[in-house]
Amino acid sequence: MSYGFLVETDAGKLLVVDDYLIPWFVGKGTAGSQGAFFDSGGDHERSIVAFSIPGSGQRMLAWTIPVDSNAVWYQLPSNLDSGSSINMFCYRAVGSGLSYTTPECYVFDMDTAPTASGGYGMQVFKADGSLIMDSGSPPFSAHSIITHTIPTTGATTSGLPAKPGFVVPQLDKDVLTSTGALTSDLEAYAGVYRRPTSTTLSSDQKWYHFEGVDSGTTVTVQRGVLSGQSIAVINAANYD
Amino acid sequence: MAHGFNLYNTAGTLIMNIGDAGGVFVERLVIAVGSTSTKTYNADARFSGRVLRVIQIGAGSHDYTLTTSGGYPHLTWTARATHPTDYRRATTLFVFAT
Repeated sequence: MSYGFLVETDAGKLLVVDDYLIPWFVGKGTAGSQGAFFDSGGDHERSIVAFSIPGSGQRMLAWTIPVDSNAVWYQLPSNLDSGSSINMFCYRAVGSGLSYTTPECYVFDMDTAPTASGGYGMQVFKADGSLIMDSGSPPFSAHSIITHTIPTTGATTSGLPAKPGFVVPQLDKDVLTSTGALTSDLEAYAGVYRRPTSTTLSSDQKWYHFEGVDSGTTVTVQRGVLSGQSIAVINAANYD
Repeated sequence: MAHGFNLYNTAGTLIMNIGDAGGVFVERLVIAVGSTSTKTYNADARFSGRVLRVIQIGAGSHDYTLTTSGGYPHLTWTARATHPTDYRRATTLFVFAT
């Protein structure tokens, strides 16, 4: 950059570059009630919580993952292209009867210029005059970035803030097993996360759905990459 | 912080901290179904010596790797050949540079 505005962290990493819109906090998602567990045809059943999501356009979602020594797992979407609601799922082993805590959802606008507060504070503009940051609209700031592999059991996440929020990778898997010339059994899996302690993070793919389908093939379809990705962690308390 | 740049809101809450990990979102990258050949997202000179990272926000039928060539970070992807056509999906990534 020959001119403009650039901020680096103490470690020399990029924090603000005036060419790029910084995702900004538009509010928290509002959770509905926990639905009854369903989909008990696999080895895990799941419960839905529908969240009302503020803002419009493309948004990034960061989630608190409640610390729970019980094996309840969360499937947490990290993106909403449009609309105003999204579903979060909680998984538990069939027959376990475990309860869970609904996570909190922090919503960041990736698309539109932040609301100009004016009057005081700090604004940063792109060369075309569009606003990319306004101190009245709290900017997304990654406290930490975790490189993660799925599945992982109890990866140490020391150094996180007291109330971390996670933007997690998405993945799912279909396992088809031929049962005839034109039929197969389908097992559906989803990528899920949990925090067994405040300093550990676990991930896995849980089997939650079974059905017979017209296929006749035996194949495993993995969608999504299992390693080499990043989890961005925010200090969620900064946005409360 | 010994020196540098912190940003607070009017309530005195620190909302941008140079002690954070950092990272600037530079691209929302949608790799379409049918992108079967190896392709690259090329960072340019602004990102020389930087690191690209990705969060996979939409699971799809692509493998990808982060490499460095000519001093610039590159993101290279290819469709996973074992996927039956019926089950392929686009892959969507948040690409950010640190």
